Amino acid sequence: MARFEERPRIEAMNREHMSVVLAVDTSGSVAGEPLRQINANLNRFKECVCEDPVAASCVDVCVIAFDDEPRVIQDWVPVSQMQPIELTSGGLTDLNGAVLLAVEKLRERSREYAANGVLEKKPYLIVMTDGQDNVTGAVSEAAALVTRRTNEGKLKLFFLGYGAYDRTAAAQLTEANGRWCFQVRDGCFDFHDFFDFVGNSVKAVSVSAPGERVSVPTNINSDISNVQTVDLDSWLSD
Amino acid sequence: MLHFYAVNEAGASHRDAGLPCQDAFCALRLAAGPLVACVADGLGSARLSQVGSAVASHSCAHAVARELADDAVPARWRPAIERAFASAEQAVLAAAAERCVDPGELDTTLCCAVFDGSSAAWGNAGDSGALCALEDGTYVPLTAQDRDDEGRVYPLCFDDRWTFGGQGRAASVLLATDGVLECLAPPALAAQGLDPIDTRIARMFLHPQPGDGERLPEVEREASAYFADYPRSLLDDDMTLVALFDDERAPGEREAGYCDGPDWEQVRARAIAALYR
Repeated sequence: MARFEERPRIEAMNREHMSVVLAVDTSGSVAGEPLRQINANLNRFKECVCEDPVAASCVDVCVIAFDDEPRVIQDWVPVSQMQPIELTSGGLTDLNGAVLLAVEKLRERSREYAANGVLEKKPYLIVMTDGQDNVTGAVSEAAALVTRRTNEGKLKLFFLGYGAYDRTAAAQLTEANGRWCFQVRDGCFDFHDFFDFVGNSVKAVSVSAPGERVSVPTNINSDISNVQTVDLDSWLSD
Repeated sequence: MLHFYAVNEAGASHRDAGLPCQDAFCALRLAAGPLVACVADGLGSARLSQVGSAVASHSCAHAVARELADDAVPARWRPAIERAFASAEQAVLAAAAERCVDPGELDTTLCCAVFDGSSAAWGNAGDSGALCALEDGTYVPLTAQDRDDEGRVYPLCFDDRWTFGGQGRAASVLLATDGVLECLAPPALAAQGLDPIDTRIARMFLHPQPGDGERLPEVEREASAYFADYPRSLLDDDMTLVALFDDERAPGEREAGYCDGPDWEQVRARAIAALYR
């Protein structure tokens, strides 16, 4: 009989989980084509991540919509059980409130993982907006929180701006990332490449080993993509 | 006679990526007889974490060995470990200064134990840890993994969070970094108020087999092979374990069923139910 022979009786009990919050601007200005694209791509995000059955079993998703105020559209579920999204638009843009709520939802999920002995990978916060905060008037509170938690290694922010989004607010929110964000070329609302990148990133990171560097192929910044990364410092200095 | 064996291997993904093992260990036989062992786990995000873990584990073990060189009295072990932790922290800081890098680049956990076949003392920083088999065959955790309420680890540099303790009636001791530790003591068990140790898996390492003392190199190879073959979905981290035992004083045997381990289907069902209410 082998000296060490007992095999584990269950797979994936200790697998690290990963929480992802998608915070989506549903203010009046995103009506029409932008919102259609957002709805379609939110649903594709699920399909993308679920292509990997391991990722499908360990990624949890929460969707927040924000206009006059932020609200949870889809509370925490495994990504495989994410319900079809059909957002509607109207009202103002509470970007500050949305980010604060999103960070609180990520913290809530981290506490639940810890309380149940489930290990966790760094959570992702994905924010999409075409405007500026016209409820609070500033994002300084949210920016300070995101910066602190990013520097503490407790979250990773993906910020996508489109249309006439507030670049100053984007710079504040992405302070810890080096003040850059994703941006869709003017007048174009095809978010396909952004959601592909985000979905593939979630998929790759969720199944990666501790300390492993992951690489995700993307068309972003290429001639064939309408999504680019923007150095907000350069923009701010112009 | 006291013996030890150790496993220290890079995790599968680190091997695939050509990354070094970021765990380290050091185990010594003190001149007065007891064993001292340390394990350390460099933080995955730290560029020089493998340096930090090696510096911490080696400096701590050797500091204990120097202080207890001529004295095997268990009452001195815990203070010696406490001072050795301070030495280890200073050694890591010095290593960072030598390399002109931020000390955070060498962040590491550290777990240390001294064992003489019947008593143990321990110190811990972070989420590595130690388990013990008592003389009557009961398995107990000596340490608690130190993480915040969101599961993030407090490494050695948080010196106000170090913990120390002692254990009598100890028949064997095991130290491990978090990947292996959580195979033997999955956090979900303690979270559900169950026996925190998977007794079925842990028995292999806490209950020495007859003849282990005479074939330590083979035992090490077999233990390494065991973890190398562990399901990657459960263990993809670097793997470090040091087992300390006295082959003349094996742990006793508990009642039938004690080493059957938990009902994992029930454990998983409860965890899922709690997460997705």
